[in-house]
Amino acid sequence: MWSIGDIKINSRLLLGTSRFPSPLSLQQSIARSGTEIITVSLRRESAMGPRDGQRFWEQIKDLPVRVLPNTAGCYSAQEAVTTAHMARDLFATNWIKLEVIGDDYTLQPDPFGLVEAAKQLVKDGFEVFPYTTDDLIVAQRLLDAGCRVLMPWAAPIGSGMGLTNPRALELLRSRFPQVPLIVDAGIGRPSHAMAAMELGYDAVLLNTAVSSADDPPAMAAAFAAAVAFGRQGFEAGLMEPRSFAVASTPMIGRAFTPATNAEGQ
Amino acid sequence: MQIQVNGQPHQVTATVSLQQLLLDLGYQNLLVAVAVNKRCVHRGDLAATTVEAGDQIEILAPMAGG
Repeated sequence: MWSIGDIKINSRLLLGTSRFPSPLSLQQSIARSGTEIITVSLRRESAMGPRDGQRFWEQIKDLPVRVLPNTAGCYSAQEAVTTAHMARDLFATNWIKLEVIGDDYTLQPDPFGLVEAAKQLVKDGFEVFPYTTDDLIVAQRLLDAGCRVLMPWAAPIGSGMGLTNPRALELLRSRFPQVPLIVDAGIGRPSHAMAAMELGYDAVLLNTAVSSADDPPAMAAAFAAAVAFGRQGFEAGLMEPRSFAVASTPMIGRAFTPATNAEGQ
Repeated sequence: MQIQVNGQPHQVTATVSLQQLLLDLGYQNLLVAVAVNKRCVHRGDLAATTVEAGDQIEILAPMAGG
């Protein structure tokens, strides 16, 4: 069990809803992931077109999950703030996954715009989930702005590269032991998610690794297991790595050696 | 007068409200959020907000996202 504000959450896997091969595949993936939080977005829609957005909402609105709207595609603090307010109107939630993109090629967050938007949105009553880099000082500024959760990236969105800088993620965990930390973006394999959980992260958020799998619902189940086992390992207390060998089998009593006093008596 | 709706030019009669504009465009009973000139106009304010010449109006719907 972990929590964001007053909200208690069991599942430590947050799932994006984009790029699934079919609505059924998405629904089955949500179910098999065990997630309690799915991310959604907002896009232009013509009333005279196919109304894909309305159909998408019909498909998910009654599922037993919370929605976390994002501000994907925003390139300035003002765009992100406006989109967040529109999301609150649309989805009736004060949760917002805050994205302010600074670079097209990497989709790297713009930390300056991110902090600016976060300050405004916290004042406006939002629970801000900032999608950020693994930079310690940016993380601190976001907390100073009133964010109660942080979502550092593992690698660029959709890259599937996994934890490219685990030491930085580890540092964030050690510096902010009480803050809910979610690895968001770059997770490609269940082992990546497990590694994030073994660092003591509270949850992971992923999308493409599931939606682009040959069998998305099966991959969702695999991620659910990886996240659960990674957390279990962390809670059980992981051994510290050493640069030298320590025999696990007792040395006393081994064959082909002179008897010790203890063995002779 | 001319306005823009989701990036497309659009003609409206003067003094139309945002709520009326949405009806005219066929958005009745659809779940959408509205912004005018990059500012969100909350649902409760749509009827009282008048469309002005040159307004840039965004009408957004739910969509899948990561």
